[in-house]
Order: sequence, then C-alpha cells, then structure tokens
Amino acid sequence: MKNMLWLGMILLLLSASCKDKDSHGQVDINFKSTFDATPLVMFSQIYPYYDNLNLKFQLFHMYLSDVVLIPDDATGSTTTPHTEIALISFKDVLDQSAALQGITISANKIPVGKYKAVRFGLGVAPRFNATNPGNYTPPHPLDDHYWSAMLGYVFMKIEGNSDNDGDGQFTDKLTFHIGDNSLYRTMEFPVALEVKEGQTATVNFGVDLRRVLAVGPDDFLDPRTVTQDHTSNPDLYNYLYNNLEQAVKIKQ
Amino acid sequence: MWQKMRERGREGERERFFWVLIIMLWSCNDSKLSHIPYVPTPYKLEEPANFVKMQIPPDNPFTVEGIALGERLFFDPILSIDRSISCSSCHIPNLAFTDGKAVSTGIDKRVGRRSAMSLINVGYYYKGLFWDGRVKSLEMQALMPVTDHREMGNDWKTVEDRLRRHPEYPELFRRAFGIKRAANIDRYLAAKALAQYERTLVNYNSKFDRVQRGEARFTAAEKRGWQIFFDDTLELPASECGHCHIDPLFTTLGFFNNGIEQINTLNDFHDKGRGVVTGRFVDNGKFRTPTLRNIMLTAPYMHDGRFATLDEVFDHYISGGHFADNLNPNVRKLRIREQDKKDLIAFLQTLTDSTFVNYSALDRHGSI
Repeated sequence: MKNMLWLGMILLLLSASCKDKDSHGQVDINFKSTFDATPLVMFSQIYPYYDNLNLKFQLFHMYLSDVVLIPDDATGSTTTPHTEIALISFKDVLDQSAALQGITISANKIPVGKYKAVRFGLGVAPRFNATNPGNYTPPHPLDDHYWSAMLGYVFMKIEGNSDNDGDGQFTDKLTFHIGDNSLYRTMEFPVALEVKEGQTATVNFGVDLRRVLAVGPDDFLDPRTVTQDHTSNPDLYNYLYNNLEQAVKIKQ
Repeated sequence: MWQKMRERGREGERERFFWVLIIMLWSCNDSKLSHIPYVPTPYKLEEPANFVKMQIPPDNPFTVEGIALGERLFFDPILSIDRSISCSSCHIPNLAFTDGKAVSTGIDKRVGRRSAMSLINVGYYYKGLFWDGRVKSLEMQALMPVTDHREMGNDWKTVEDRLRRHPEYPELFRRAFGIKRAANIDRYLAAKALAQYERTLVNYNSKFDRVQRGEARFTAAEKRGWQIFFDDTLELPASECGHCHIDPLFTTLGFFNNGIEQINTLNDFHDKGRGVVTGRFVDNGKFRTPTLRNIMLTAPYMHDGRFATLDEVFDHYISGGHFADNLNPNVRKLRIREQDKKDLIAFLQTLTDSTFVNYSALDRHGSI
C-alpha cells in the first residue's frame, strides 16, 4: 500500500513536470531594416536620398531593453519577460538574403496563451547603462559598444558614406554614435499573438534607416553639412533618436 | 638444409634483436611517471574589474604548474626545427611581447608575412587571434607557429619526440597535467600550457589605469590628449582614435580597413587579411585593431610594420587614409595640429606599463 502511494506521488510529479514543460512556446521577435522601402544591405547597396544625394552604409545598430509581452488578460503591470537586453545589429547584413532574414531575438519559455502587446525600452536601460563590459562574459550584448568617456553604452550607431559631389565615389564619411540615459524611452506595440505549446510565434518589426536620418524631403540630415555626432550636439542627437523611435514599426 | 636452418636462425636472432631494441627505445621514451606526485595547484588570475571576463576553457583551468610549463615552453627554442628560435624570439617581454621589427623573422632568417602582435591581454581576445582572427582560442593558436615554414619550420611529431625524450619536460608535463608516461606528452598539452601562460599576461597597471582607479592624476597635457583621443568635447579637435581603440583593452578587437593601402578595388590588397578568413569580399584588407597599451614599446606600427614612428601614424590618420569601399568611416580627415599631436602622445605614454619588463610568470606565480 505504501509503495502504491509512493508510485502515485511520483506519477503525479512526473505528469506535473510534463505539463509544465509543454505549457510553453517560443516567441521570436524579428527586426528587418530598410532604407525607405529597400532592404538595408551593408557596403554594396546604394540608397537614393533627398536632394539627389546617394548613401551607402557599413553599420546600423540599436539596443533594446526589457522586452516583455503583455498577456491578453493582463491587469495592472502583469507582463511576461522575453529578453532583458538585446543588440539589434545589421552590421553583418551583407546581401539581400540576410536582409530578408533580419535579426531575431528568441525566447522559448513563454507561457502559452494570448498576448495583446509587446513592450520594450529603446536603448540601454539605465540599470544596464550603469554597468560596463567588465560585468559581462562574452559573448554578451553588453560586452562592446561602451564609451568610457561618457560612462555609458552607444545605444545607436550609424556608419556609412555619402557621395556628396555625385562622382560615384562614396568618399564622404557619416558616423553617428548616440547614447545617453536621457534618450531611453519605452515603446509599446499592440499585437494579436497566440503562443501555443511547443510552437513558435513570431512578431515582426521594421526599422527604416531613412526615417532615422530624415523626417521628410523638407527636413532631413544633410550629409554635406553634418557628418558625425558623438552624442555631443543635443539638437542633433535628439533629432536622430526621436526619429529612430518613429522609424520602428510593427509589421502585422 | 642445415645451412638454411642456420641462416634462418641468424635471421631470427636479428629479428629478436631488432624487437628488443625497439622495446628498449620505446621504454626509454616512455618512462613511467607515476612516482612523481600530481597535485596541481589551482591559480586564480587577478582580473581588472573593468575588463570583460576572460573566457577560460573548462578543460584547461589555470594551475601554477601549467603556467610554469607554459612559460618554459614559451622561452624554449626546442619548438623550432633547428632549435634557434622560441615564441619569445618574436614576442619579447620588454617590448610588450613584440619584436621591434616590421615583420618577424623565423628560422634561417626567413621573413614573415606580418608584424608580431603584442600578447598583452591576449587572454581577452574573444573575437579570434592573429591579425586576421583566423583561430578562436589560444590553445589552437599555439599549435600554428611551430609548423609555419616562415616561423619555426618544424612539425609537431618532432617536437613531441623531443619533449618526451627531454630530461625535464616529462616531469613538468606530469606535474601540470598528470600524464602517466612520457609518451603521453602531445602537442595539445603543450598548447594548453602555452595558453595558460599567455592568459597570465594581463596588463592593467599603467598610469592610465591608476588614473581610472583614482590613484593618480593626468597632467594637463595628458588630460588634453585623453580628451582628443576620445572626442570628449566639441571645444577640442576629434582624433577618432577611441572608436576602434576603446579602453580598457584599447581595442574593440574588431577588424577594419584603416586606409593604409592604396587600391582600386577590394581585390587589389597585397594582403587580404580578414577577407581570406571569412571569404567575404568586403572583409578584404581588414585587420584586427591592435591594442594601444604599451604603444611606446611596440614600434613599428600596423600589420606590416610600415610606419616606423607614431608621427607617421598620426600623419596617416590626419590625411584620412586611402579611399576604399570598405574604409572604416571613422577614418576621416582630421584637424589635428602639432600641439594636439604632442598631447596625444603624452596621453599614449600613460598606457605604458612596466609590469612585463623582465617579467617572469614563475616569479609572479611561484615556482614548481
């Protein structure tokens, strides 16, 4: 009788652990970058810009912090954590195929159920920004891109070239390295997401680099006069970072 | 018939003699080492708080005995075919583990392809080793110079044989790795020992480090140089150095084309560097950003040692470099004047650390 009780308890525990294992699914959050409507490809692709200028790029990255999913039945501040900190870097997007694939951050322990929104911080959250690469073992999103003179991380980097004189040579340099606690902001996007047991659900985002550099044809960063910023010029870095916020869109 | 039997007997004797000789040779080469105690002493590396954490392979933890063996091997010319050069021939401690030459020379004065890289803080190089990042770990890296015909020109079978027959190495390997017989010495254990030693070459006691820790203060010139180096204020010219030479390692460990070579297309690079490793056209002509720690000790500069002085290096960067489709955009024309150069050099001098002048891992970690 005693043995039967033990057996019953073991079976109960096993069934509970199996249930727990099966009650999760994976959520992929994918980012694709474009320049206007054209997929963003580093080095090779030429992008028409305003005023008949052409641009090329070598690097575009941004950080996300505290990525969470908000359950459909959430009350108050109930959220499901997805990723604490992520570097969304398009540095190695060197062809169309990689551009169409985009950059994905995954979490595979998301409880099954319906979710109504995705929320994240655009940039490095202040508690992470108070750390430095010495706090991390590579590979880690925060093992690089730390600017010690500013005591913080570079939230967004854009590096590329411009052909200002139209000779077909992209000899004019563009480097924008932006990061500061004051720029950090939270963004929330409504979704209709259902996570099923053992399955992967995907949320797709787009980020338009042209929108980061420009509001429109009458309001754009002019590479003939502005070629860099190291978070030194508040007007400029606020302009770029506010634009980044507008450039990030969810794709249903 | 008797004649034939006698001949066969002689042949048999010769065969027996041959086998006895083989066994004797083998036993000489494979003496048991179990009488030597194997009690490895764990070693905890002191790491500076602001460095990324060093990745230490679980199958090669630090031991005092392993480090000591690695140091012995590092300075021993036994690794080269003619016993003329050691690792330390090209990585001289008081030159911050460089050799002062544009490109290194190996056995028979064979001219190498590239300049010897500093080994300072090499244990933190998690993005690959060598100028082109072609190997991922120090254990893998340590295997390569032995067989490079421009460097040691040897083969590992010969080295293993020498180490197994050596009067001291079998004991040192036993104490470091617990091998049971000399025949258990192999290239992978030698590489592990070398890697352990190289991981101890941690440098964080320059004046710059002391300033960071609040133990010293920059002079006015050093501080101005620091501000220019890190583009700290719009009131001073920017030198753009910090983008690739970020502290505390003074390298991002990344690979860039810094515009030192004039080319028409990315196929024209004399040395394609990183491109050979990745197979990517856009990586042609890219090389690892070297550390600037101990920069005053590591002339000449660049992967091919083309610049003899820091003045030449400054002149290159002030010019904006030669254009290429993959030229790093941070390399751009600079408005750096003579006083700015002097202050930059004053700052760079604060990166000199004498820890490794006459350095001995044995002194530092205790003798075995």
